[in-house]
Amino acid sequence: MNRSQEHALVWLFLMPLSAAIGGGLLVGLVYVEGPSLRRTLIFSLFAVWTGLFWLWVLLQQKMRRKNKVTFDERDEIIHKKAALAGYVGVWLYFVTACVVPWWLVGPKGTVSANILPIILIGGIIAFSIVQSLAILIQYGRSDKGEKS
Amino acid sequence: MNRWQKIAWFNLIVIVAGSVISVIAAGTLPPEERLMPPNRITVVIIISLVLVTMAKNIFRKSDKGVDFDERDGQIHRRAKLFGWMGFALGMCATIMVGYVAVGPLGSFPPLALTIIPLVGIGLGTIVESVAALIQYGWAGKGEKS
Repeated sequence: MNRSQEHALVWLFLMPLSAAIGGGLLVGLVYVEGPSLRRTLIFSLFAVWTGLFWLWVLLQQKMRRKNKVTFDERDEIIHKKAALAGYVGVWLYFVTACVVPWWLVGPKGTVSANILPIILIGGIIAFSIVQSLAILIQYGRSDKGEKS
Repeated sequence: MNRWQKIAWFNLIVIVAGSVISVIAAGTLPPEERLMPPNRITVVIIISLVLVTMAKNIFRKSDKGVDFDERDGQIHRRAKLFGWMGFALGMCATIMVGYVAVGPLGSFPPLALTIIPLVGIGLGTIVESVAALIQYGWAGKGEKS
């Protein structure tokens, strides 16, 4: 298993867990103690960071000036394809998440505004799961991913 | 200007014009109806998205020669990736703006939720078109193959 596969495997479990706990805690705090600019900003930055985290892997490899090559064009293509798959997964998730409440409550009902950050947390979880799975599937789920 | 530049310009103009018309339409609606689709805003957004989907049929491929090579493929892949990034960031922004506007104790009609993915895909299309135009050049530089 190469480095990218190990990272993907860790992210597959770690990211959904941290998004659910961290995001849930922030939403709960805002609900109990009222909204504050700082919390909203932290939450927004967290969402943006997780959505663009895959770029960090590519930037890190470009900045690294070591003789040993750990990341080549094939890895880059795999990461870009995985990010694309993640975004498509998020799109499908958002469409479902936005239509299901309407279907559940009915057109004349109302939904609490707290559903919005919960939808966003779900989006983060969907993105990290689909992206990690796409990386693992492209490398092969076991030891097949070549070590470079 | 090649076919793909024309499509990118068309998408950009349609979405920006659609957004401007939506804002104007929102101004003419009473506040309680702004978040209640189907209304003028959603009609404008849907028409814009249908036009964007039909762009490839409006600007048809010429019969002679190849109009899509590896370079175009690479430009499209990059533009698509940027477009999806724009979509994700647009969704985050729309959701957070909606949340701050309504407040944690507020509520809204569930139909308003359907506007969020539409706004997201609109922003994604704008970013994708701009990314394609930046890579090809805004005007005549894109080679005709």
